[in-house]
Amino acid sequence: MLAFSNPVRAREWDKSERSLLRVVATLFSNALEKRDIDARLQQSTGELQERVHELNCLHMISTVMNNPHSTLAQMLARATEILPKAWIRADAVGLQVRVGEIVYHTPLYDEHQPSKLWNIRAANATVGTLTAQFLDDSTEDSRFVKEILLEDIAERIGKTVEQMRAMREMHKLSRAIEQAGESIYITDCAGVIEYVNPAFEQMTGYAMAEALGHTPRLLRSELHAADFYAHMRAVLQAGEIYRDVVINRRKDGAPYYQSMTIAPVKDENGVIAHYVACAQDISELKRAEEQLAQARAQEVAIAAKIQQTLLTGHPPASTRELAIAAGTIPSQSVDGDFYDFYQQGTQTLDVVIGDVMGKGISAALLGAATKSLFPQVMQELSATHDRHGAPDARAIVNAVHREVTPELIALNSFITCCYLRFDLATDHVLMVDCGHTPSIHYQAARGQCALLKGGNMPLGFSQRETYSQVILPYAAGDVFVLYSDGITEAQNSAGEMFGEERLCALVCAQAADEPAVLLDAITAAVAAFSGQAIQRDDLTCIVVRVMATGAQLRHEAQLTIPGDYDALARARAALQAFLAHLPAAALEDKERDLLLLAFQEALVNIIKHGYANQPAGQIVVTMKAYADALFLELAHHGASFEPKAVVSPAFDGSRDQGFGVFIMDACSEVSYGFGSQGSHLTVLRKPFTAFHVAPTCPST
Amino acid sequence: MTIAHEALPAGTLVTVCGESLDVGMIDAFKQQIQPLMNAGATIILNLEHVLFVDSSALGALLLCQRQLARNHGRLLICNVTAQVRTQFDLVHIQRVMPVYATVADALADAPGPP
Repeated sequence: MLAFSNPVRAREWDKSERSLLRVVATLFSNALEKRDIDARLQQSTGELQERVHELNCLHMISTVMNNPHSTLAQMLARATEILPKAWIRADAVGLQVRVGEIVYHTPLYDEHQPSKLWNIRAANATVGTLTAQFLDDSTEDSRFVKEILLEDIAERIGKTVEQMRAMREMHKLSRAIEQAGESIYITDCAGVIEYVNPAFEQMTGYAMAEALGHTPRLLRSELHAADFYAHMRAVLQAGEIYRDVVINRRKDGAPYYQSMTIAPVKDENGVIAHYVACAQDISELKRAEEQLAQARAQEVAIAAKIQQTLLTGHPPASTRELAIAAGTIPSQSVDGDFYDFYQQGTQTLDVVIGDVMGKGISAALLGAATKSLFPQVMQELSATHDRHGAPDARAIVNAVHREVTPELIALNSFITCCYLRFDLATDHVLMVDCGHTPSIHYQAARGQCALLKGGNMPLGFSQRETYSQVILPYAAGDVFVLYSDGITEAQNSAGEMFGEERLCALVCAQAADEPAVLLDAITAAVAAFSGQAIQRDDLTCIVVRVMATGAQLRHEAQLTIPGDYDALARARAALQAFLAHLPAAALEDKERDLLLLAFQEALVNIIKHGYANQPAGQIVVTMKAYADALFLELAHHGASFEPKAVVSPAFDGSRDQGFGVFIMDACSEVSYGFGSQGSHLTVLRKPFTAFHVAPTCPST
Repeated sequence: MTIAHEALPAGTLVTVCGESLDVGMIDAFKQQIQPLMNAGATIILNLEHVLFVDSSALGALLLCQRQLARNHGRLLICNVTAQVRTQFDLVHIQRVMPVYATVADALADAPGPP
């Protein structure tokens, strides 16, 4: 408990006694001056008796007022009883004491009689009155002494009221400290603990008796550096309030975090007399913070793990034809970049790269789920499709699209991806793009890079989207670079993006290098470009280098026709002659008829849209038959063609447009791109029903 | 001449002369068949010589059928070669107009003279 001293009472009684003695001395001196000694002696005896009564009365009242067990009302009641004893004749006076609501009076007090009044004041405010009615004809001197006495008593009562109020406040404060949830301790100016509250005992495990007499060093955890305490001391000795999180140690050795405030308390001379320390245990908060940090770190670890196991596949070992390198540099947060490789037989290598919109575990899971869908639909399609070899790349992407798009729409997300098939039997690449960043095709023959773009929407945009493909030939020395937008959209500190141009320049410069070397060069260049800027996205990149072409061309034919409808019959005849080289098993009659139709439609499209029916243009038709498919490449220098802009055909006869594109798509695999001489290239690909088993006999 | 035509009691028999009916001759075909598509007319289109039709031909046939149907007439197709049948199947042409094996089959199904 706090100890409260009470120096006021001792001082006050000294003063009263002094004034009474002064009065007594005066009376004595007056008495000596009187000539009639007897009379005066008698009078003095009477007055002395009065003084004795008064002194007795004062003493009694002092005793009553000092009784710590009395209430204010009890004190005032008792004082009212005692006060008339200051008079020899009890009927000489009527008295009333009033403090607030408490009122006491002697039996002879009559409120209608004239009276003299003294205010009872506490803490500079009037809190009550002491009223006296003098009922005898006592001398003026005698009355004067009584008035001094009553004034003193009024003052004495006021002091008592003031003290009792202060006590009550102190008691309230003391109880507040006792019951506070915060740990509180008070030290002297040397830091020796003088008081601790129950919360301190609970927080530290030290009972008050164990803590008193020690300094707070008792609680030190030694988990802070030495200068931590030096700083605390410096702040406090400068008379300032110290606030910080302090790690202390409980009696049982367990460390705990507390948010601490230590305030120096100065005495009336401005010298630091005490320190009051108030502390709140924030160990729970700290634990929660640590758990949160741990959870975050764990998320990054999970992200890396997801990236390694769920989101990225292993590139197949390099073959005679293709060398591959792939890698991803994860950003701080988990991302949804994914890639994988699929080999079906020895004639195809499929590469898929994708990027899920958004970040976090949800993006990663979406990426992982989508990636796992590809082999699943491939298996399903292989089981149902009636051809040899790998299922159609478009069919794979369209099946994945059908599966994933409703989910993506529901999740308000989308995925860009690029599905690239290296068809080793024909040395062609089939690309089904789903709104992904354009892939790079370094063409060794030209020493230039071309950007491969498709016109399809990302997965998750529209359930009605059908995915078309781009077909283009490759040659030995060509390099394909697939990447996520983290590469091209990497920013430097000035906010500038790395961009496709820099990437193409780099690929051109290092196209002859091993794919792994080029991959490292790309990531290093992006890192050097970004500098200190934060890596916001995963840097995902796949490099495929064509080491050698492996396709065995079985038949090849070429013809050039003018862009004129009259030349169509000749072109069809040339195709029919070319198809005649194929063994019967390669294509059924119906398939041949449909291919002829698709060929016609492709030529008509070029004449009608590419050359706008102007006869000046030429069309170079190259027909190639490989072991498992044939290609019809129609090169022209007219305008490019956008198949997505063509309206769908109306089978009810209400419109005669749109049938051509529909027929081409239905009869073969069509793609639109660029040829090696900067021409526009329409490519029709027709996979064979069975392997082309005829002996190789190239013809032109 | 792209087409030959012959008036029969059941309607007009129109025979396409060439081996192909495609974009190169479709305008001539449309011009020549137009005068035959009177109100209530039945046209029996004989494709026995045709080995190849393309999208413009398919579109033209659909337009003819639609115009005739609007005027209470009919377009009956017959003598379709295997090649053309494949191409018809692609656009499901038989959903819109009847396709018969022979001219006789088409005539048997055609309404008699009024």
